Amino acid sequence: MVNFTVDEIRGMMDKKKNIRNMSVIAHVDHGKSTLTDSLVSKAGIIAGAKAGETRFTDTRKDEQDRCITIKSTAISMFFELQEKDLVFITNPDQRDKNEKGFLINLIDSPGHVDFSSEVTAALRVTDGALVVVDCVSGVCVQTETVLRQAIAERIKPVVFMNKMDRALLELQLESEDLYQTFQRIVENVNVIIATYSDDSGPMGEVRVDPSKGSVGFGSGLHGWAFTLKQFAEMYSEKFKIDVVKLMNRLWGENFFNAKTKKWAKQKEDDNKRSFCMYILDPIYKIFDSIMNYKKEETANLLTKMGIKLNHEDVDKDGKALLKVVMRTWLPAGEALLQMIAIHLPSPVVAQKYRMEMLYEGPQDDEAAVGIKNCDPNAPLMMYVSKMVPTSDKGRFYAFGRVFSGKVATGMKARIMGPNFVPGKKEDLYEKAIQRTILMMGRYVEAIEDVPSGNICGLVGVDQFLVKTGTITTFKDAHNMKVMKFSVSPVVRVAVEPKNPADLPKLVEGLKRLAKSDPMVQCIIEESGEHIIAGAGELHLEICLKDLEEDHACIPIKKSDPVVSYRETVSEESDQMCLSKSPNKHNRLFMKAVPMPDGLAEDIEDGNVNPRDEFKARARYLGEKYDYDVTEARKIWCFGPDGTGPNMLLDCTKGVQYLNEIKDSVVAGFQWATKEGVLSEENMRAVRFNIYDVTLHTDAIHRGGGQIIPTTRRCLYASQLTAAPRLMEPVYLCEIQCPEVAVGGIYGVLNRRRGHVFEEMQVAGTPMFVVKAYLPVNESFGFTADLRSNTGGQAFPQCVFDHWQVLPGDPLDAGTKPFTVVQDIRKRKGLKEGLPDLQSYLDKL
Amino acid sequence: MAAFSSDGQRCIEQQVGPINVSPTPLNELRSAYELDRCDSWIQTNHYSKVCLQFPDELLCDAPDIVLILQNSSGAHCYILGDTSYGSCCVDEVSAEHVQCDGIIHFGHACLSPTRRLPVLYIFPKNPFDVERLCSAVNATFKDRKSKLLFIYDVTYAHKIDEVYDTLSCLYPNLVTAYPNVSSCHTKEGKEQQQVCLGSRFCIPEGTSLDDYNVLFIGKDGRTFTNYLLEFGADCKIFRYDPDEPVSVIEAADGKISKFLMKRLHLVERVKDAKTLGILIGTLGVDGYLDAVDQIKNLAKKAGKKTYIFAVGRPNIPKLANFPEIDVFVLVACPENSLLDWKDFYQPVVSLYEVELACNTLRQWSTKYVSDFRQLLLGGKDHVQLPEISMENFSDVSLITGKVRNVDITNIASAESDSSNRSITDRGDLTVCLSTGSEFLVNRTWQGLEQNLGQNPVELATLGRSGIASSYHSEPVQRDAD
Repeated sequence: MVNFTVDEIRGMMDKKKNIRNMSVIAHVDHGKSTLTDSLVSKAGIIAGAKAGETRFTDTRKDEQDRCITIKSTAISMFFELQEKDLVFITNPDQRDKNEKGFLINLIDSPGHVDFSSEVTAALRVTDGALVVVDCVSGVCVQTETVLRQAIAERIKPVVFMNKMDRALLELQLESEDLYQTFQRIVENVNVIIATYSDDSGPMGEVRVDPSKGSVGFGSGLHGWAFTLKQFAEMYSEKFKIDVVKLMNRLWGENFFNAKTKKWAKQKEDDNKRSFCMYILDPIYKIFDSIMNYKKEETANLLTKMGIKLNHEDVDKDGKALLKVVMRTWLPAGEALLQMIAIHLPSPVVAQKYRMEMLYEGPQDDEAAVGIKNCDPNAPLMMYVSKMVPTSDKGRFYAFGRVFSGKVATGMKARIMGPNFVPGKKEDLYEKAIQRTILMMGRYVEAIEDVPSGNICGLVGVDQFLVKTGTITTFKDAHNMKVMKFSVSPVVRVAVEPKNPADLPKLVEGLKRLAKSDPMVQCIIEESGEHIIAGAGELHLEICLKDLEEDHACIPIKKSDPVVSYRETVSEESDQMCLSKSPNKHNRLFMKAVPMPDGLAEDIEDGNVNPRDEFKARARYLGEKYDYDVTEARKIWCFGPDGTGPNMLLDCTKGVQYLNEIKDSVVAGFQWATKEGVLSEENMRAVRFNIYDVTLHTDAIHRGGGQIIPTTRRCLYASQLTAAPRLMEPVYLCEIQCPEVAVGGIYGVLNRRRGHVFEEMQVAGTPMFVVKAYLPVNESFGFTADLRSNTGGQAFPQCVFDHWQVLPGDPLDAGTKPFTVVQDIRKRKGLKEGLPDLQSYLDKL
Repeated sequence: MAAFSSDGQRCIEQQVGPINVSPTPLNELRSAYELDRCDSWIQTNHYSKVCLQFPDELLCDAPDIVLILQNSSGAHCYILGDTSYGSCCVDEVSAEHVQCDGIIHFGHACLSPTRRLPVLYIFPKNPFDVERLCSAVNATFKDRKSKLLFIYDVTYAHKIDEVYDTLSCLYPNLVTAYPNVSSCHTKEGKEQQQVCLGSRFCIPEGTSLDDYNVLFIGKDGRTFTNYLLEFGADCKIFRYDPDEPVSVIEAADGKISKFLMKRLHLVERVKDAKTLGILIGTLGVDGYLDAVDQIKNLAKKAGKKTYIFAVGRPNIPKLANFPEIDVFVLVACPENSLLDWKDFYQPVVSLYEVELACNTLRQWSTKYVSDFRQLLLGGKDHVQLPEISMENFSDVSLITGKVRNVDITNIASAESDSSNRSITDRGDLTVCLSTGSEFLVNRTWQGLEQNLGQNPVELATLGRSGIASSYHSEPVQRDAD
């Protein structure tokens, strides 16, 4: 156990080649936090005996009560590699020649899909990821999601097969079966990796391989783990084979015949798979002898393996003894930290290939070069990925990673929010950093300065950032790229204080809540409703609890959850829509057309965006969506907010003064797409074409006052004549359950308008995985419903997937969309009934 | 006086109610419009020129009244109609055009005090059944000791004494309000006199307004909304509509919190705004210039720019001409302050929202002050502005989700060093950083395009003449198509 001080860590921070920034990611309940504890116990922050029981990184009370991680937590650890292990590090950028110690900054992240924004934030500031997979349930949907995100962020993964104790004790798997399970998981992981990257990419080989030591096995709960390296070291003397070579022999199709002492590549009658023989068999033997209380055999085994127990442990038996024995024999911390130090990249290595993914500005400016070289003497570039509440109410630590330069207490820096544009002063502040701190789980330690390649917290910049931002000392720096979340805030509740006089406290609380969570949205709507929008029910539940207990500290009433809808059109407008300006001197002619499938997603994903070069964009639209290229060149804008998934196209020919009114038309377009005509929800996937414009010759009569409201009316008329539809958000829902429960799942899904599109058995287990699409609106109470209908055997994971048209005409009384529209109008305090086309459309 | 610019659409589209469209018979004019009172007012004050201000629905009677009054009083009378702002306010500016000595205001009035000219208010006399009210009151307020305060629409002022006489013997704690005009009844005794919106009332010493049940007599409209906001926070408020066939007194709770929530949204919008447009909505109400100054002050402290707009009655196209304005602040009499801006491009707020947004010392309460005079120095809801500007103060906007700051020093310092260059980079813009010019920079079209060297040189030609709505060269429009 290593006890370290802040000074020691500060010393290590300068040796950037010996730093490993890593996150622990996995599906929910695969044992991340428990495993992290065994690592932390090795690094000496909490007592070794408590590992596996305390969940050190779950700092909040509700986290410990629910046994679920909600916020990601960072811890710094110090680990020394032994001389013999150092040879495994071949890249000179991975280790300082004279330094054996490694500083490992670890971030434990939540596994529940509702909190995956926390994972995104964690991945951004780390270079490597420890992917934990429960070897009983295998690769699950969230494993895939986080792994995909990691690869996209150029994070190098290593894998740990957790819960081996369950496989042995509960499932009683044969050793060959267990090997097959491991093999399948490794394959699954590598398939995902291969889908999103290839070996010739900038990261080099990403796939994991047990024979290289990048896959660990063990049990976080019992505190033991190994990689093939550990066993290869044990046997290498006996076999007189080099450790590296032996590792290759211990995995895959390598069989050993104990009688002939011959290796073979195929299974034969008298040989046995090396992995089973040399690794699994000894473990099985220990399990067998201890769990069946074979005292003598146990004692024999222990002496044979050279395991010495403490006095107080000798008398233990059963599971307790098993834990002690396994932990002494194969300490988890040692194996995992070795794996991390050897296989995960140092900032020096990682930032070289990550820079182009991280930095928005030119790839050769000072900031870019500084990041690329992880240069502590270059200008400061730091990305703040999230805000961590302090004990001081309403104040936050800005948590992030220094990519270049040094951040120091008292230093003056530029704080740039996500809306900062170089050369403008929006979202830009120049402030002194009050304090830099080191964040270690529940504790923080002040530190003088932090050089590039490290993770730290800042005091005093929280006022100038909402959730994320870039801190720099370089005057011409651009922003670091904004994180892209895999989930969207589609579930909303309205809150109000039980006592109306508490309203200001609620508002203040909402502001704090907005900061403390990477994804939650807190909005005051025009109707005066205070809305909290989150990824799912659990996310909202936690947010509301935080709001009530920590941020606002007042009793709160909440509405039933609702979803936000989108307005779209399903056909081209059935007539040319004309609207005249209030002075009747200007006329606009427009039509609305639905966008082809996929275009709205392309816009949202940034594949088509307002900053593209217009010719390239037109070509792309022409090739992929059959758009007329000349028309596609004249996209006036996207909306709402200038980036949304609706477009305004200029299809006019030779109209005088057109460029003069463009700004006014665009303003009207932003307004209309933000508040659609049906229910003032955002529009989506609508393309508006301007076909003709007649304008008064005198500029004073075609000013904004005439054009902006007219544009809005004309767009509304176009929307109403184009068979308007309502879109609702849909979850992709993955449910794991035993076969007997599948029937119950279908019943619940059918009742909730869900439909199953995939059902399969998890190979090697009796578990089934059902994948279905489920409208978010129908998902409230889904988990509880599912549990009660399957005897508590089915666990769903729901993540927002896409928008889907709600079938039916919202203009036709009696349809479902009509009711939805009326409900929204009522909630927003709008006039009930349907919008009247005649008030938007004018006659020639 | 016509609004500064009007396309006449309002007149065409305006719904004229069926009430009072037919002119009053000549023989009833004198009593209906209290012409005797007018006569004596003019004569005692020796006015020679008097303006008679009518709302649209009473204009039909105007010529007859003028004839009668001119004959009987000898003063020269002018008719003021189609008031620029609300017809509830006294149109002093128009009256000053003829340099008259006094104004007689007919019809519904908000009773906002004026400064320049003496005013005589003549209220309409709507039919009112006192008996029905009394029975309704008896049915609702069972406790004879309950403290009641009656306020009412001015159209029922002529019957209020009758109501008081009938009910005061039953309810010893009854108080009735009186219109706050110069010719108001005052009672003797040690009482606190209170003026609230257009009402004046006295409650006995030792009692507080909070104990009172307030009954409003009249329709559910702007006037009632204002009283609701004024009293709703502290007292129980009820409404009785004499025109409804069934006479019930209904409690009006719950409405107010919905309203306040909506206004809170506006407070956030004001906090977000960088540029405020001060919209002059009255030229008559006493203290409107002080209100403008107060807004300017508040905005300056909060680091916002202000521009003053006088556009007559605000409508959508007029205000949408100024997209660089983030929020308009309307300075008008209480009844016109709360504009329904649903279809407007920018929100239109009142002084109170600006106060809530920019005056850090003002606490949010469940009360809403629609009368801007109460917020000015000397008003009962006045709160001193903090001495220090809100330096280094920033928070999260709940509208846009962005950081919002009112850190004036930061803007200044950023300009002085680093972003100095960005100003010079723009080159062609000599205007220094105002939010207006900032807005202009973001526009794609920034003014006339010279296209130097691209267009052939041409000699100057004779332009058009006339005014924009119809130039001399243009054929007369057949209709307003």
